[in-house]
Amino acid sequence: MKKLISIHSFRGGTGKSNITASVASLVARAGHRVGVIDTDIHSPGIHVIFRLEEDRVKLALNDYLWGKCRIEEAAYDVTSALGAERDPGTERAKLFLIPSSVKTGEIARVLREGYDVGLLSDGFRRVAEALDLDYLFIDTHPGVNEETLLSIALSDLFLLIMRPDRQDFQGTAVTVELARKLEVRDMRVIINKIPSTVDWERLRSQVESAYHTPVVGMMPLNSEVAQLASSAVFAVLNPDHPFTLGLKQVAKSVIAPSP
Amino acid sequence: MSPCAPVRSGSGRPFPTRAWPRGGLVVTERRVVLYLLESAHGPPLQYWSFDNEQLIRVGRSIENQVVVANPYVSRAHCYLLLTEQGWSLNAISDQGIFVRSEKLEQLPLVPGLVFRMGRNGPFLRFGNLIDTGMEKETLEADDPLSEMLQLDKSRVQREVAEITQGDFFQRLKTRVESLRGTQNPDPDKTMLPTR
Repeated sequence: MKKLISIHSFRGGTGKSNITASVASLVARAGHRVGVIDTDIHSPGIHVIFRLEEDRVKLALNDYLWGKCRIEEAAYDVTSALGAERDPGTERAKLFLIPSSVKTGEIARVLREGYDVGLLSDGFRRVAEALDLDYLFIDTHPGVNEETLLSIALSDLFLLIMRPDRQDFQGTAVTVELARKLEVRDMRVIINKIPSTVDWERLRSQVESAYHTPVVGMMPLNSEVAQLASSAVFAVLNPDHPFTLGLKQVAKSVIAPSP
Repeated sequence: MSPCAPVRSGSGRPFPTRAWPRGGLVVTERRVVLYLLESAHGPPLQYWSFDNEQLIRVGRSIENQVVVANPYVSRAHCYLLLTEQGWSLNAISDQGIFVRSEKLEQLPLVPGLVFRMGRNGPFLRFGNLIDTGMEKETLEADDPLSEMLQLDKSRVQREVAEITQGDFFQRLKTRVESLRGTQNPDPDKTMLPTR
């Protein structure tokens, strides 16, 4: 595996799952084998974007965490979400999703009992080997908790998504500091839902100087994205949309070697 | 300069220079902004801003400062030129520039003016503050970035300390170190006891 990437946001509603789905798809379309793990066990959702039907899901990440299966048995090939048109030389492209269970009983069990986060970190390595992955994306649960911090600490790249508002700015600063304490080497910020009234370059430099972290993607607040994004991979459906431009920059930054 | 979403800057008056009152960064108003619009009256999709430029070339080819990837746009379509009379827009290609369905070779640019690149091409707006109808004073009082990007650093430090001094964080750190140290770990050793 070339890179393990954790994607996180301090609060919900930043577009984290949509961005994860699009960036993972763009990286895969560049000719890589990519996996996405939905560790947002409390509120799973990314399977909808990849159009993985719920009745196709016989085993989920939860089953692996309860010791019922190997993690690769909970992986589903969702390469069809990448669209039919591909560039030559990208035949290696594959996309897998390890979904979280949408069954309320399973969600309740996680909330009640918790799970062993060590098993989760084992699963990352194991699934990358079993599926011969180049990149593995971890869609994390918003907020700061043990599972999320562990995923962040074990990743090669930590992508933080924020909206340009005061609460996100403040909360993300805490996450950045925690990641530093955990010696996360490669941390980058994505700013989403930027209103049209904002000066982008000024926003970028303010965030970069406050966090001492590069901003690798900036995306506008856009009603089309809100309408379309949750039912399909936005970047695949809308390759030339301004929103996709920001996502492509993120994908490029993921593929580039870490400093 | 990179294609971005819209910016709010500039005053519409001929280029006074002013520092933002809050937020620490100086943004001058000697700036020209071109917006690519969704439709004639639609929201901006992308913008290009320039400081202290005199000539700005617009077209489909990447040699232009403003690259508009659209089949109705010529490779070298038009250019903006700053003269003593202010900014003017000048057509290069026969596709021309259209303002309210009228094909023009050259026209003076005023903030807020929307023009079309070719008869069926995309709409651009030459713009800055005036087209939002905002006065300078209103902007200073209501600068959205100054409001949203005020970091309470002592609160950050306090919250970080609360988390990192807790037992769970220390345990996590130890666990992370052991997991990082082993490439193919024995699962029994990597799984620490559950809480």
